[in-house]
Order: sequence, then C-alpha cells, then structure tokens
Amino acid sequence: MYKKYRKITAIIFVFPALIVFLIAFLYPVFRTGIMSLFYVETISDSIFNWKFVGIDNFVFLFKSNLFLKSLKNVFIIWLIGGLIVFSISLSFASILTFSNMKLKSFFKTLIYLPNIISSVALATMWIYYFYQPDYGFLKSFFTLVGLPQLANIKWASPDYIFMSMLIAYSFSNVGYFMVMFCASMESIPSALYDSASIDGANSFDKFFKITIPLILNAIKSAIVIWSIEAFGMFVWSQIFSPLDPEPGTITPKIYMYFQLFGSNLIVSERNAGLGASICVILSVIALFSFLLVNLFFRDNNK
Amino acid sequence: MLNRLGKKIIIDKFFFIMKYIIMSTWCLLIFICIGWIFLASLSTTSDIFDGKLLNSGVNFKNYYKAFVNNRVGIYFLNSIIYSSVSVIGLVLLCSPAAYAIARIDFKLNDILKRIFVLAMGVPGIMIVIPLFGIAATLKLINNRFILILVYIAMHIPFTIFFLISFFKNIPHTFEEAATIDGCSPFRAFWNIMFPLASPGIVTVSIFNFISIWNEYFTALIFASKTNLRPLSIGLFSMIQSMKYTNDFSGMFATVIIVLLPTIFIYIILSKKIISNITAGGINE
Amino acid sequence: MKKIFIIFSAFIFLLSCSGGSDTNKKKIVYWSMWNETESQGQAVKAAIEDYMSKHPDIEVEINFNGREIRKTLQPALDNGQTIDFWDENIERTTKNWGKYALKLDDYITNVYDTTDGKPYEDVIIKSLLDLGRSFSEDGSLYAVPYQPFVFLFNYNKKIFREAGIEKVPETWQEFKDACAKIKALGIPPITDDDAEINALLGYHIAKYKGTEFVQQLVTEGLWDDPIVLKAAQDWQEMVELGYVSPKVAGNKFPAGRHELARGEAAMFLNGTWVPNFVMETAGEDFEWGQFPYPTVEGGTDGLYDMHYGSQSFQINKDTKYPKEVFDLIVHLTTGKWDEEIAKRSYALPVSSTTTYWTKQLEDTKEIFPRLGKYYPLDGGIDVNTEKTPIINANVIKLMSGQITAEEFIAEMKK
Repeated sequence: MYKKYRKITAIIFVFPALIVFLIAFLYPVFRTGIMSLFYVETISDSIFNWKFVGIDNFVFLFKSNLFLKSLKNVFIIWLIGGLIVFSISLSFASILTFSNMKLKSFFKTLIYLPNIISSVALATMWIYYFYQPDYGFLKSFFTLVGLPQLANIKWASPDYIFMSMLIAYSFSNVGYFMVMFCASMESIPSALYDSASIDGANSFDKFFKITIPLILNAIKSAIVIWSIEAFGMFVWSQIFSPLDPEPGTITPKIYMYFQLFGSNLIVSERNAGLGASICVILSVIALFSFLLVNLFFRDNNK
Repeated sequence: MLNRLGKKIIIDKFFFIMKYIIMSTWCLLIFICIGWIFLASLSTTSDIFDGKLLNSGVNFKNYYKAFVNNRVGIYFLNSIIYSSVSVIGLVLLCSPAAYAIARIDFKLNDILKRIFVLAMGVPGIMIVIPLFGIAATLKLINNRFILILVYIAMHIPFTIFFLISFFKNIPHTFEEAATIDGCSPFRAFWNIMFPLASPGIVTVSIFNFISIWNEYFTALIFASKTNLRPLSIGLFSMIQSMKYTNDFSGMFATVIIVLLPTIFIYIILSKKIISNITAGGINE
Repeated sequence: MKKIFIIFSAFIFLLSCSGGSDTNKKKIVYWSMWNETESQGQAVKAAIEDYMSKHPDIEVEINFNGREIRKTLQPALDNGQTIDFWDENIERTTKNWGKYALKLDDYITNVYDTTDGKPYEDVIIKSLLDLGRSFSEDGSLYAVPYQPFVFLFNYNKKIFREAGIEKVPETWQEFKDACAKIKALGIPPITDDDAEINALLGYHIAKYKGTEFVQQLVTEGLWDDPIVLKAAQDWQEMVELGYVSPKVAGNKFPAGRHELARGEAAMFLNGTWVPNFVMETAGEDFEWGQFPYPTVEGGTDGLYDMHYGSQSFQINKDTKYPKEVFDLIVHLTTGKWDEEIAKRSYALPVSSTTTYWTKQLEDTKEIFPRLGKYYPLDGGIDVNTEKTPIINANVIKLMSGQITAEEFIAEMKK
C-alpha cells in the first residue's frame, strides 16, 4: 500500500517536467531531424509546403567549402582551445586549492568574472580594444616594449583573425572551468597528499597521480560542456565579423543563421531545411563526443 | 643533503613567486581591459584614435546618449524577467522530478535518468528551429512566455541531472522520520527534502541564471521586437548602432553601462556564488 | 523569505504578461531599418511625430530594428504580427518582401497636399520608380523610394586640392596619376572596410566586361577568364605603388571609414551615405566630393554605369489602413520632411518638390541625371552568398599585398 502510494507520488512528481520535456524538447528534436530531409523555404512554412529531398541537404553541406571551413574552425577551437583552456584552468585550480597563497578568493572571483559578463560585451572588448590596430592593447603593449614588428600585426586580418578569436575565446572560458575544477578538488581529502609527501612525491607527481584521477568525473563533465559550447559557437563569431561571415571566423551555427534568415549584404535564397540539417550534424557531433568521453573515462576509472 | 634541501627551497620559492606572477598578470589584464574601456567611454572618439584618452576632458555625453537613445532599462528588466521566471520555473518543475527519480523506485528511474543525460548532449539549437516554426504558426513570436518556455525546456535535462545527485546524498533517515510522523509525500518533499537540497538548488539556479542571462541565439530569434529584447541582444544592437554612427566612445559607454551593474551585483554576491558553485560541484 | 519569494514571482509574472493599451486611435506600426541613435532614425522619428500632431486620430508605433530588420522582418510577418509598413533598400524590399507588400501603382497616381498639385509619381525621381518596378516580377511598384544614393568614390576635397589635382579622374590612367599625387603628400589615397572591399574588384571587372559577366563569374566560377587576372593585376599594381592604405588588412567595420574621416586616407568607394556616417568625427566642415569609378582601357562599360538605388518604404498588404499609411509615406517623402530628412541625415531628397541639395553631396547633382547601366551591389561580385566570404578574405589579402594577382586567382579556383 505504502509502496504503491509512493509510486503514484513519483509519477505525479515526474509528470510536469516530463510533459514539458516531451513537448518542448523531444518533439522539436524529432521535428528538426525530419525537417533536415526536406526543402523548406522559410522557417515558418507549414509542414504541407515542405518538399522531400532525401539527403540532398547533407550532400549540399558537405560539398560547400564554406560549411566545411566552419566545421574545421570549430573543430580546431574544440581541440586546441580545449587544450589551452583545460591546461590553464586545471593548473589555476590546483594552485588555488592546494597552495597556501594569500588572496585566493580574490583571484578566484576575478578569474571567474568574464563568465558572468555578457559575451557580447566581452567579444566587443577583445576585437575593438585588445586587437584594435590603432589604439589596441597589443599594439600599445608591443610598441611600449619595443617590438614594432609585433605591434604592426593586424590581428583582425584574414590570416590572423581565427587565431585571435581562438585565444580570446579560450581566455574567456578559463574562469568557468577553473571554478568547476576547484569544486572537485576541494573534496579530495588532504590526507592523501600528506601521505604522498611523506613518500617523497613532488608537486607534479601529486597532480598527475592523485588530483587528476580523483577529479575525472568533473573533467568528464567539463569536456562535454566544452564540446557543446565550442561546436555551437555563435556570438564570438558574430562580433568578430559583424557584417558578413568570413572564412576565418565562420562557425556552423553562423552558417545556419544565414541559411535561415538570409545574408546581410545581398538578397539571397534561404532554405530552413539546410538549417535543420546543420543542427542534426552538430547534435551528432555533440552526442558522439559525449559517448566517446563516457566510454573513454569509464575504462580509465576502474 | 643540505644542498638538496637548499635547492628544493629555492625551487619552491621560485614556484611560489611564479604562482603570484601568473595569477596577478591574468587579473591585471582583466583590470586593464575594463579600466581602459571605462576611460575610453568617457573620452571622445577622436581621443581614442589619437591614443590620448581623456584628452578633451571627462565627458559624460556618451552615457547620456546611450541612455537617452536606447532602452537599456527595458533590456535590463527583460533580462531579469527571462532569467528569474525561467529559473523559478525550472526549480518548480525539476526538483520534484529529480527527487522522484533519485529516491523513489518506480522502475522508470534508470531509463528517465539516461534520457535526461543523453538529452544534455543535444545542443539547444535542435529545439529552437521547430519551436520557432510552431510559435510562428500559432502567432506566438515576440511573446515573453514562449521565450521563457524555450529556456525552461532547454535547461531541463541539465537541471534534473544536477539535482539527482543532490537528492541522492541526503540521508534516508529524514524521510523515514517524516513518514512515521504521518507526513504526506508531498509535504515530506516540500517541507523536508526541498530545504535539505537547497544548496544544490541554489547552485543549479545560479548556473541557470547566468546561462540564461547571457543567452543570445534563442533570444535573437524569438524576441525581435525592441521592447522584448534581453540585455545581450539589446547590447548587440546598441553596439551595432554605435558603429553605424561611427561612435566608438559611445560604443564603449554602452558596454560599461551593461557591465557595471552586472559586475556590481557579482562582487556583492561573489563570495556566495563562488562558494556555492565550489561546494556544489558536479560530483556524480 | 518564502513570502518575498512568492510576491516577487507574482510581480515578475504580471510583468511578463503585461499587454498593450487600447485607444480609439488608428494604430500604425512601423518597423524601421534605422537605429534610434542614427540621424536617419532621429529624422524619420521627428517627421512621424510631426505627422501625428497633425493627425490626432493616428498613432504610429516605431520599432527601431537597425539593419537586423533584414533577418527579423520576415519571420515576424509570417507570424502575422501587425506591422503596417517598413523600410529597407528598394532591391531588398521588392525582391525579398514583395509578396507581403501592397501594390502601389494606384496610389502613386493620386495628387496629395504636398505634391504641388501633381500626381505623386511625377514628383519622385523617375529612375528610382523604374528601378523599383524592374525588381518586381510583374513590373508593378511594391515600394516607394526615399533617400536616393549612388555608389562611387567619396573623397576628401582638401587632400585633392593640396595634391594639386584639378579635375576628378575619369579614366584609370587619370585615377592612377591622381593617386600618385596624393601619395606624394604621404597620405595613402584609398582605404576600405573589411566587408565592403569587394566593391573595388567587383567594379573594376564590371568596367572591363560588364556586370552580367561579374555575376556569371562568381556563380559559375569563370576565374580563368584573362580579364579577371587583368583586373586583379591592375589592383596589385596599385597596392605595390602604395596607393592602398596598409590598414585595409585589418580594418574592421567601421575603421576604414574612420581613416577617411580623420584625413588619413583620401578616397573610399561606397554609397553616398558615407558623409553622414562619419559626420561625428569628420565634422560639418569636412569638404566632401564624389566621383564615379573610372573607366578602364578596353572596357565595355561607361563612366556612369554604377550601383545606385534608394531606401524605400513598403506597406503591408494586410494593413488595416492602407490609405493612412500611404498618406504618411507621402508626408515623409515629399515637401518639408523630404527636405528635413535629407538635411538632418546629410542625405538626398527624393522628390522634385524639394529644391534643397545637401552640401556634402554637391557633386552627385550632376551624376544623377546621367546614370547609365544599373550595377548590383559591389558590381555583382557578391551575388553568390556561398562564395562571398571566401572572395572577401582573398580580396582583402590582394588589397593589402599579401598575395599577388596570380595567387588570388589560384586561391579562388580552389
């Protein structure tokens, strides 16, 4: 009797969330999947006006140099940016957790700060101040230290803009992951480190043999979050190329946005089906990395 | 032996100083950027290009312009509405669900948990396009409700996933005591479990709040009317409009107007935010 | 605590549901392509306020979209949102949004208060009405032009004078000579912004072989055509001679315009909206001049073949008050407010009822009556949106001397 009562409670508890989830999450996801197989002129066309085209949308995308370039861009950001973000945030987190530094919370607060600032403001700061070729930070800094060659680099030119964006984006993400790792590291019992010290382990040994294995779960979640963020990059690219997309900054989501709503300079054709196909590709990538991470870390865990 | 120890001390000292140097440079950079932009926002565009900030004196003209010609206040209000309503909605929807999945055995627990975990890997844009289409058919675009609904839907998987681990860690004794006292499961949940899980609920709410506060893409699509724009979109359109008038100092002033309140609130709450996030880290 | 929480959420909920107010006024909703901070936005707003004070039964709601209207308007229209009229470039309004628009052929034959007793169509620049009709599938008019523009070199007359250039160049050779004189002053003659630099090459190829060829070039990829190489080489030579500002390599919109405004460069190939755009920095006293892109040796196209057009107002075919809205548009495009909008935003008037001609655009007075063939934006080089970003990146490299003409062609053929 009591058990049955609890079961009903459970169903009542789960029901509202589940309904919203089914209607506003699962159903749209399926609809996007189906839409990716159709030619749909505008995003708001009714389902009766969709024209079935099979995998044509995907074929078009994988033939489009621009889309392939956008995939390549986010992949490099995911990989190289990921390495930068994770190495810096892990070392910052371990410094802030384990060393007897003063001002710890001050540093933590300040490094986390970029995460609460709107990325629009942040990206604007980078491109219109940090990299600006006339009065920008890099220009002034390198002029000050007497390196005119570096000072004259046009960080926003087609050859450099991708690197500039990658650095800016990584820098701005360090705080978030650092705090996430701090959280995990603080739950490691300090006795482990004490006994390791007695055994003569140095800081590097401790970091790789104790810290990393014990925060694997946090790293796992962080990789998933990073993958979703990096592959779905949008704002940064939009601010770094405010009028029209350019090969150096284009991301799949930007490409999708222009497919859905048309380009800026010129009157262009649109196909919302293509947009849906891009969503599907991004989701497959995200789910793939998700499963991969789960598989990889499960084996290591035991 | 002594030599080795001396070496070790030197190395330790070196690392100790290095730590400070690295951390301080990092923070200094943040300071310089924000500080410079603040000064630039008080200068004129020509000053900025001449590399002489504040050359023609401090002028608040830019702020006046930014405030008078834009609807910063409305953008702020909208952001507050979207973030807080969505966060409250998420708590009301997800905490009972997470509790049930975590603590009541009803056969579907594992499947549901797996579905939510998997859904976490689905990017939000997957749901944006069709919802936009549906909303357009139902003539619901440019409506606050629909945007909030989308935000809630997008954050359900993460919120439930996060809260499950919290409810799991609460000792069973509390519940048992409640049942013995004749508490209904609903009261037991709201009066006992909910408060006990509040650190986790606060943490996940902070996460959700920040992420919705800074959300851009969905709002860009769903709120095209000026009066419905949240801060992120409003800021972008303000910055764009400053570019169209070639007004760099105005652009920086706009950035500062948006930054200052956020930073101010953050500094007041930072101890709480950081400690909450740190305490409630994801420990699956 | 709990109570505060409940009150707070109730408050927020109420706020989120708040609706608009009802009045007996006829409510017209206008979605503007301008930002509220821009002078055009301010001028149009003032004109509309004036209209409302004269017609107390009408209330106009302005929604300032900025250029984001290019993306936000259509979904909103599909959504059935009440938008009575909007504005954008006449090509975009007619081609993109024509199917949502009211056919205006009957409205423009009427006489209005401000049209000096003539039909409306007789006071509006005729070439623009024709242009608007040419964009539509059935040859009807779906948008009313205002703020005409031509796309040509905007230049700094003071620098030209100091360099000793007496007559604006008309041929490529004269253009090069002029550049040499400016360069001798130590000022880079030409600059541009990232997204718009394509125009330099697009116009150049178009002058050689016409704009149809340019469009064919980018849609079919005819990069092997010797004319393309020739055009790229012409510009490579200009770059090597130091006639293009080295800053174009990293100019992010609107940095290039800024160079022009600060007198750090002498010319900028763009629309006649440039003076208004940089007015804040350049100031009223800046001596503006305009001249068309020069002709090239052996080229098919003449001096006055160029991109021209206007912004335009378009009316929703489902509007409840078509007459009132058109009346408002007449108010905006003729008589006092045609002049005022032109004055306040350093733009040009569209109706012959206005004798005013903006000082900064004096030179275009001669150009408008002579306009030749119509060029699409940037000479047509941007018509293939898939390719535009790639062309753009490589044109920037070409114009900043990072690659040669041959390398440019090779890059484009990839």
